[in-house]
Amino acid sequence: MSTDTLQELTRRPYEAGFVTAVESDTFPPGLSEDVIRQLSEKKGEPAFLLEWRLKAFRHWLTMKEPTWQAVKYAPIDYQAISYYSAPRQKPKKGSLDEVDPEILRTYEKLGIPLHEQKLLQNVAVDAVFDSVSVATTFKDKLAKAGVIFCSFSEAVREHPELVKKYLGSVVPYSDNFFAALNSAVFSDGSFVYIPKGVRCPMELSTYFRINAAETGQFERTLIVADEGSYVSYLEGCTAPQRDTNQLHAAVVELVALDGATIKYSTVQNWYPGDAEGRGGIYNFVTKRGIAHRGSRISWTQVETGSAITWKYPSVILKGDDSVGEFYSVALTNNLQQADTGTKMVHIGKNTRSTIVSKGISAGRGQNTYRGLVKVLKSAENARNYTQCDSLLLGDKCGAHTVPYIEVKNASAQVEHEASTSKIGEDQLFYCRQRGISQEDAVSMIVNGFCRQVFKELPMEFAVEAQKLLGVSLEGSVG
Amino acid sequence: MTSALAHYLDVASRFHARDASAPEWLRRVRAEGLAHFERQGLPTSRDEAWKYTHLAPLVEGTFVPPEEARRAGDLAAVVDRLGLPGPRLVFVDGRLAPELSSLSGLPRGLTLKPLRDALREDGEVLEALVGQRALASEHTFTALNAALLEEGALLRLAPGTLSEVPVQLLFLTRGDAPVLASPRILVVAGESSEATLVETYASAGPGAGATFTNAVTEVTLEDNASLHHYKLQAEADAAVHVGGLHVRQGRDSRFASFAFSFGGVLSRNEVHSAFAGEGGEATLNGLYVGRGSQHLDNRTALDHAVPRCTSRELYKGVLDDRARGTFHGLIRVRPDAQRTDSRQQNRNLLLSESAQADARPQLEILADDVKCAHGAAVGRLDAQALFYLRSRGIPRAEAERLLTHAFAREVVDAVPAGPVREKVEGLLALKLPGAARREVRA
Amino acid sequence: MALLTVRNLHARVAGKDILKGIDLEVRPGEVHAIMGPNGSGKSTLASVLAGRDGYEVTQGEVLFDGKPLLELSPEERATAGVFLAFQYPVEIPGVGNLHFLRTALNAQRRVRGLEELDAMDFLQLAKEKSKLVKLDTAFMNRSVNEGFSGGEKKRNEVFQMAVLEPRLAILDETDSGLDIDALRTVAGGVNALRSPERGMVLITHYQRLLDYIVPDKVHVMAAGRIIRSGGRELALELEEKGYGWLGLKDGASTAVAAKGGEVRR
Repeated sequence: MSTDTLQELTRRPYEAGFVTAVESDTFPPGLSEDVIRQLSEKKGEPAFLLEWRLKAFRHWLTMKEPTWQAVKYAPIDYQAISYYSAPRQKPKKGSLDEVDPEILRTYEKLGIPLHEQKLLQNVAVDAVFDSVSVATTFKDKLAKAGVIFCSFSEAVREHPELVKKYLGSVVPYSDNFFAALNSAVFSDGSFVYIPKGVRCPMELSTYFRINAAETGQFERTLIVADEGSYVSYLEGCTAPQRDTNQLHAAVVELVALDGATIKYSTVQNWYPGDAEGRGGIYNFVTKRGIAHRGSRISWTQVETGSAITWKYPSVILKGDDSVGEFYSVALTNNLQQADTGTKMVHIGKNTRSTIVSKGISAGRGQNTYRGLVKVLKSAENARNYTQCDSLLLGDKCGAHTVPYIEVKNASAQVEHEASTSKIGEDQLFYCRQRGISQEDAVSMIVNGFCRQVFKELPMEFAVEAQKLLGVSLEGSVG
Repeated sequence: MTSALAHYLDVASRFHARDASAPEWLRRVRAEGLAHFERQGLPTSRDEAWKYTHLAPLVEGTFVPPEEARRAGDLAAVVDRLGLPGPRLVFVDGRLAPELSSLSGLPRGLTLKPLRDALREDGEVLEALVGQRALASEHTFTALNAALLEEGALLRLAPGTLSEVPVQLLFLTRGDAPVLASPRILVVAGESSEATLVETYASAGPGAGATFTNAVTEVTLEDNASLHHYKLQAEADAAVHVGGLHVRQGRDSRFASFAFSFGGVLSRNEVHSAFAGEGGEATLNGLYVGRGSQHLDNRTALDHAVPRCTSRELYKGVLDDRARGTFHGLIRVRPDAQRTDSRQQNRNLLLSESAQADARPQLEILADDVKCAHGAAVGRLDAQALFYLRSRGIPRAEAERLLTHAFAREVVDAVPAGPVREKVEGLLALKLPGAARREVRA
Repeated sequence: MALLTVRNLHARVAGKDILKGIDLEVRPGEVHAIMGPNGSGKSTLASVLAGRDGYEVTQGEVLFDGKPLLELSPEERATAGVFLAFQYPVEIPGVGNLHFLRTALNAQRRVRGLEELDAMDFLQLAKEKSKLVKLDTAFMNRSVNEGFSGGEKKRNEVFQMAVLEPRLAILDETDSGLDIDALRTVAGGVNALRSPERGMVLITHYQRLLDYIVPDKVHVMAAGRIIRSGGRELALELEEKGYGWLGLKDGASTAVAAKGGEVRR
């Protein structure tokens, strides 16, 4: 099996690349305080939020785009982006009947039916289309358990006190360039609140879809798990196939109060661009959680899309005995670039973190794991286990591992494992010599490589993730 | 020049003058050793390789090689206690003690000789072996050892030789004189041969004064050969020990090293192994247990120079009182060494507030198809486990002893069951603080 | 009829000629040992027979059961009954050892038109066969060869061979890097799998293996050719006299390439 055949195997169609014909209400490109005021007004926001946005914007103007990451891209013209696009519909969506059938069809095509009778078993979905949430399912059933699951805009209207208390409490608007931009212009997103002691009765899920051209998507997700509660949250993303790059700069904030558990899973399949690197989403995302005493925050991500991925889902282990986890599969093919990893900041005593990162590079893809494990002086008996494995398919791609370890307390146990291996001749030949076909062998090897991460995903997503990698590596093997 | 360096240079040149009848090659080895030692000098904390090593006990002592062998018949009981069944050579204060040694029962194909005899009888063989693995030009204590080359052992295994019983080299010091012992051990294992070599370093009394052992072992494993090497270092608290084990591994060869460092005020133990042929396996295990103001220093260097070799390292330290432990492990994977599979672990257990451990795992990977893992940990006894045991009625001291033993056991358990493991277990029981205290009570 | 017929086989790797005219005939029930110093082409022969990529056959032919072998893909050869025990068994992280083997066995059975084995039946079979090489079940549930010691990997190869029941087994340096106990176990497994229907080719670097698996025929390879063939006594003679006896120096066999023709009977 030569490198060429491997390349062949990794060529794949992007199945979510269609465009939905829908009438949209879209701002002209450009960013200024006026645009932000207009946006805030359009959404009928309270004054505190507009103020916060403006502060973020003013701060953003003083910041420089980061350059330390190992990705290359042409400069982004922030004035050429439209900061709001919404499908034209009645301002309040009382029921699904009021949602544009074209949009419902879009989600159906993506495998996310929004009609109650066709709903995925036991998964509540918030569907975000360009800048706004178009539908949220199972709201009543969740309300019975006291769980709040709604679009961010709705939360601002219905639960301003919660939003005010927690917005920016984990990722302040001044955190970084893209977080500041998001804070200024975020349009919608999901909001979750799980009351004390409640185990959320179903998986919560947000499905993000970018449809309009020349717009950016800036969503904001806030999940608050009150003491002793549990929630598993899933996030999926796709976008149409276009020749130009589109910016996606999201912020996710997680708050796990004492004894709470938040499992946050992502299957990211934004349009990655074509084989020559034309088009694709620039995915600059800030995700962070704060873990209070005895709580647990677990990030699981399968990153197969986007032209550029820049994200470091992190956990601040503030409370004693808190646990942070990061499980990641990042696939870069063709000219995709990913610079992704995590930060685990140990502050409390007996805090534990686990990092398992699996990078797969194919084509001319570049994959960088960048991770920080920081143990502060206060973090007596902190433990970290990090495992970074890279799989190279072919010889034109690259894998890079950049671990940062800062230990200020001598009682810490920090372990690091790393491997870089080339799939190909040896493993494939071994399988084939035992009688297994080439195609089965590739899928067996890749799925085996990712197994540690897939087993952390909820069942529905594990299947989707496996399929996604299956598609990614499907080819014309005769 | 420091006075300590001047002292050793003086010692070495007097030694050189004394043995004027030595063959030319030997005189050359010693002279070159002396020159390399003079050039490199004694290390200081400014030397990267000795940065964390507390060198005072070595620099302050004025150790000298013993002029001649002393009668050692009174040490038979000590030898009985420390000795293993099987062939052995015993050295007292750096000198061969024939009356305590036994060369009966050597398997066919196995040659074991005191170095003194070998220097006389196998000059050509030795000339080709000495300094081949341990380079005097790179290690200053190897250079000092070469300058004083006289005692030690030669172990050779003919191709296909299987030695079921371990071969033991027992080095005893009496502690009643500031002795400098410089044994050199040379091992050549022929194709597909298998053997076990045990080096034991211990104090026999009656004195408890400072001694300095500077040992160098050079091992050549031919293709498909297998060697288990054990180093049991349990010298008196005042002893200074520096040891260098240098190995070259041929194709498909297996090398397992166990370094147990229990004794000495300063103990530096180095293991260097280089893969010279594909398919080799190296297992480096170490356990260091220190108390009082002991400094136990371990350094390993694995050179993956060729593809498809496997290495596994596990070093554990238990440190009480003001004891200090150092582990510096280097794994070098050269550009051609694809398919290298290497794992290194260093874990330290601190039993007191003043104990200290420094862990320096170091990877240098220049190939792109490799698996390398390393981990380091410094910690105290697990408070929850301790509480659990105490909640079941086990007194605190007993619970601590149990957990400490459990921590150390992992390395001991890696020793195949048999007489060697029994010896290790015996020495460990004497050494672990809880165990010793219990014996006093009993 | 011969199980395996190799005629005048020439092969090159990365533009370099490695096999320079191999002739070999293995009948059912026979065990052939191929010995030779480093770089003589022993492992290349194994790779060419199993169909590893990157090996270009420039001349000659190979018949398996009278049919041309070289045009088949690796998995077709495996299904036809050719098994290669790898010199360096490959690790496949995350893929269970038993899952892997069941996938392989069922892939072969499917092509042969046999019913696939379900998990229970397969487990039964695996347990039975694992006794041959003293592997316990806990070990079989780990990922393929991952974290296995050198000895365990080689035992796993023989275990796979026992389950797949090939007609021709090529063992490429299955003895290399084994301590004597592991060698005895592996050899015991191989001996148990000898049968009147099965042919075996043992490729070895060390004569010691032949103390434990007694071959019917011994061939000495050098510089891409078989320069000497004989019965078991050839191996013994070789042990006594070393490769030097045939004018060979381990690892530097090119110099003797010209001599090959003279020594060969």
